[in-house]
Amino acid sequence: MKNIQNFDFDSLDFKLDFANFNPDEVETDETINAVFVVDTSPSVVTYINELNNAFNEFTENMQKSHIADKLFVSIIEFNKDVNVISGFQPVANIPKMDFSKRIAGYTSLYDGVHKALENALNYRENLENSGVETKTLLFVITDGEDNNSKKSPNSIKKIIDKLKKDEKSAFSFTSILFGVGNDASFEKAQKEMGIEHLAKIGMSGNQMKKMIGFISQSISTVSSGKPHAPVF
Amino acid sequence: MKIHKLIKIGSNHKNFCEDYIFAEKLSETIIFAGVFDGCSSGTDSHFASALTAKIIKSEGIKKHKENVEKDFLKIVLFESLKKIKDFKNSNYLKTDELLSTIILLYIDIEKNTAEIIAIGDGFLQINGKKIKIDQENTPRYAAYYLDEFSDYESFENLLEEIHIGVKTLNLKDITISTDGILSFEKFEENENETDVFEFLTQDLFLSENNAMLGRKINILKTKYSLINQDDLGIVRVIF
Repeated sequence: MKNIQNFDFDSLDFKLDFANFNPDEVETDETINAVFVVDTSPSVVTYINELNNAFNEFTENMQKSHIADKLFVSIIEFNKDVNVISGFQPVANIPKMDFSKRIAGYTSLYDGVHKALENALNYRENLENSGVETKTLLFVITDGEDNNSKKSPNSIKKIIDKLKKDEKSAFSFTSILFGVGNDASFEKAQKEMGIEHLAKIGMSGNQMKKMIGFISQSISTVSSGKPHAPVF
Repeated sequence: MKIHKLIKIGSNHKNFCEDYIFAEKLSETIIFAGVFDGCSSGTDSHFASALTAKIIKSEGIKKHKENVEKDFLKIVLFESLKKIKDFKNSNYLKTDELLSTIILLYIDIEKNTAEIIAIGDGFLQINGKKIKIDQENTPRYAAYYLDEFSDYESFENLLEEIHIGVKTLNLKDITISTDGILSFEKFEENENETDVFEFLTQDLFLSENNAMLGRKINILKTKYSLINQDDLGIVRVIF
């Protein structure tokens, strides 16, 4: 007989090296984990200010919202490298972002998404093992085609497909790729990675606001327990 | 000291949770709490438990402001049942629309004492000791007796007959719960076993975390495939 009083919670790997918030200290029994995977290759300079403004407005609004205690945010940037800017942290701990700081050549889209997904699922498992139910939202924002990744899109697809087949996670995971600009490769990347939804957006401030508004709405919808059906 | 509370609809109930809870820190040294279980065979039982709880809670706040300490629960209950009786009469309610169990807890932290009054069934845990309040599934709902008292003296006499009272000292850990705490059943095969009552009312894992009970309910589901069939209302105070 396994007794919960003897369960070794210390044996869990909380991935604190990723700087995720310690699950033991999560003061809620349900979280919404939103992970942003953001392209910081040189081509994004045309809209980076608009993206910064929209993202920071999103953070500010979410910090004031009724779901602030439940919302955890992780930010990952990709160019030639994949940079973990923040592991999952309560939205209250997310600072003002400036995505222009680390712009560099190449687009490691698949590596970025793979790393984000891997951390999101590890953290989700650790939260669930310590009694926190989790809904995960993956938002990928890119303006171009991958040209540098070591990971294949199929390795991402396998993970997402497995999640969607599992009854326990099928309705608590959503992934959306936001394709910025006119690059025709978005649809191919979305399909190859198995990302569920694609939204094509322009580079203007209004389009960025629209994207962030959609993300906020998605988070609110998920927090209310309704099935998530993105309409962009 | 930490106050933990939880209300959780049972899997047998699709629309309404018929339990209700409150836990108020009336001052730095006084805690007033209650758990209520609306009678499933009554009418609009979620309303009965919520109404009863809200009236009792407001009466408790009022009496505390009037510096009532001695016989606090008895006086609050008397004033509350009078109000419920008036509400019933002025709104043409039937008795079966007001059927709810009542378990009240009053803690004086300074004196390190607690008093509990229970009308109807439920469970208590006091410093590790489990106490079942069982009226053989025919609980004496307070609403049955609204016309059987006219003044405080007759109420006291009535209360003697229908309630179970507990007074205790040297508080370490105390829980009041509706009977939903013993309604956990496995929804799929799972070899892992645990004592649900002990896990929720005595085990100290996450005891400093505000979401302790909610997270433990999730652990029962994910690790043990256990969910509560009946609605559940718990207040646990750990010193």
